Amino acid sequence: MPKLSRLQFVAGLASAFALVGSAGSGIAAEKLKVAVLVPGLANDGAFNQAALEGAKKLADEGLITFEIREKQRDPAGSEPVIRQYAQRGYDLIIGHGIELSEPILNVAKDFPKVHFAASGGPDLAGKLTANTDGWTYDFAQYGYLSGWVAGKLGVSKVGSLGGPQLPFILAAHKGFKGGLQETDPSATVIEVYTGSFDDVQKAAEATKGLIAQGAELIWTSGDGIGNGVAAAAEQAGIHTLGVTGSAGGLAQKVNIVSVELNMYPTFRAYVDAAKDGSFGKKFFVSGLANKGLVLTPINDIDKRVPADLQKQVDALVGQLASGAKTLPDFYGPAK
Amino acid sequence: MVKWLTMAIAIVGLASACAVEAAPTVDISEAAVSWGTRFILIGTKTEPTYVEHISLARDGDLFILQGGAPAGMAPSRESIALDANGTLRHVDCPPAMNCDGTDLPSGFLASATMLAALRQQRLSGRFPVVSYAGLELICIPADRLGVQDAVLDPCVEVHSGAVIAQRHRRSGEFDGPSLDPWSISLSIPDHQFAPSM
Repeated sequence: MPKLSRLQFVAGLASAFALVGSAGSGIAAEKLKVAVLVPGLANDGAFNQAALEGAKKLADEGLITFEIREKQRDPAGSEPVIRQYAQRGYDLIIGHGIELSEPILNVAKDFPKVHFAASGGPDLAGKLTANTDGWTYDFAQYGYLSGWVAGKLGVSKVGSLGGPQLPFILAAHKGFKGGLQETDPSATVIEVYTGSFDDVQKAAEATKGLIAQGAELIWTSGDGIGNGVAAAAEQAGIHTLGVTGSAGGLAQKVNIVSVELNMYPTFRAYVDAAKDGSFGKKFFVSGLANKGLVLTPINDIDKRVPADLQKQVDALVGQLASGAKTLPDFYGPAK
Repeated sequence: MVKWLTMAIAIVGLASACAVEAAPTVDISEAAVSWGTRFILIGTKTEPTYVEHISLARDGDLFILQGGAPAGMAPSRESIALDANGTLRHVDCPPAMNCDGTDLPSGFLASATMLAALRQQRLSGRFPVVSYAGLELICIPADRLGVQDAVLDPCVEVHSGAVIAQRHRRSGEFDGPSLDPWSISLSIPDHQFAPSM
């Protein structure tokens, strides 16, 4: 048996304590061993990639080593995978996506010394245990930030286009109107819903209708129908907010900015809590204040975007984070 | 059902043999003859801030689409019935949608729009087979279905008529309401298509 130096002995002892310690007692290891499970592909440029990028940033900072597992959409398939990671001594297992919520909570019961993080709606908060934290995000603030930016672009009439009238989409639209009202009280909104989440043609027709009514800028809350918005806007020489993806190459021509998820702050909070022993029963809501929702890079197509827009957004975020500013409840009944 | 599927496969095969070095093509009318009256298509579409779960089912002449929301949240539901003459009628009309019959569905429910066009003998011709998630699709120019100023063309699975993806007319790429290739599960009675991607 090789002799251990005093330093190696102490490091080994620390690792041993890290392995046997309970979730609530914190982890002494320098780098946490983290598993991130995502429902889709981690290079999708969308929801799944947000998780990959959050984890990568933590790894770059030297806080974690991680492994990402893709295509974990089916709970029957993901639960054994989560269990395997727990058995292999991972410190933190993150299920990114609502479909991973139940499997994470199920496995967490059997491994009280491992830290687990689940995603879900607001009801997840009541299901969290001593070794599980949870996450959701505020879709209304997604709309609010878009409206806040729209009000900075110097237009008097804004078209707002949605797909189905589902509660989270209605909240985003209320947020949009709230944000616009705040930064440009004189601007008016013309709002239309197509009722469809997948019919691009209906979105194109509705966008043409908004433009015919005088809309100088179009915001869309609908990801799937953005192709229709972009096509109609390009035809009319109008710009957009909220179009995601390439939209057949048109997004670059018409879309100024969108809002996207940033998982780093939440993942960082998980890691910090696991290290300092405060992990468990905490529910994180990604929003503007914690930089869980951020602007995509600004595409200043016609030089109408204020040069200091990002600085202004940062100031807004600062006010929200400090509590100097609060946002209304966009999920409440329509006023 | 097996006979129909064999016929559909034969159509693709024959087309492949005839068109040396060219993409195989499928005659849409002949393919439609082979379609059964039921399928269930399930998949996801990943958005920047969530993953939405989508299902499209054909039950006889009723086409039912659900989706638009993250898992665990109530989805939007739209269904449309097709009669023998190729007339479409909404059965479930989502809030805010114009369901008076003047707007033809062009998303996943283009499965019904396409069958309506076939029944009214407004649609015919051969279309190239393209591969998507290990499935054979043909993309039908949306204007041939009666859609004006089309942005995307619906792409249907050749053995079932289920719309799986949409192809952008400008870029020629799959775009918009297209199911994530890795997520697709298409069930046709007596047959399962599960892509290996």
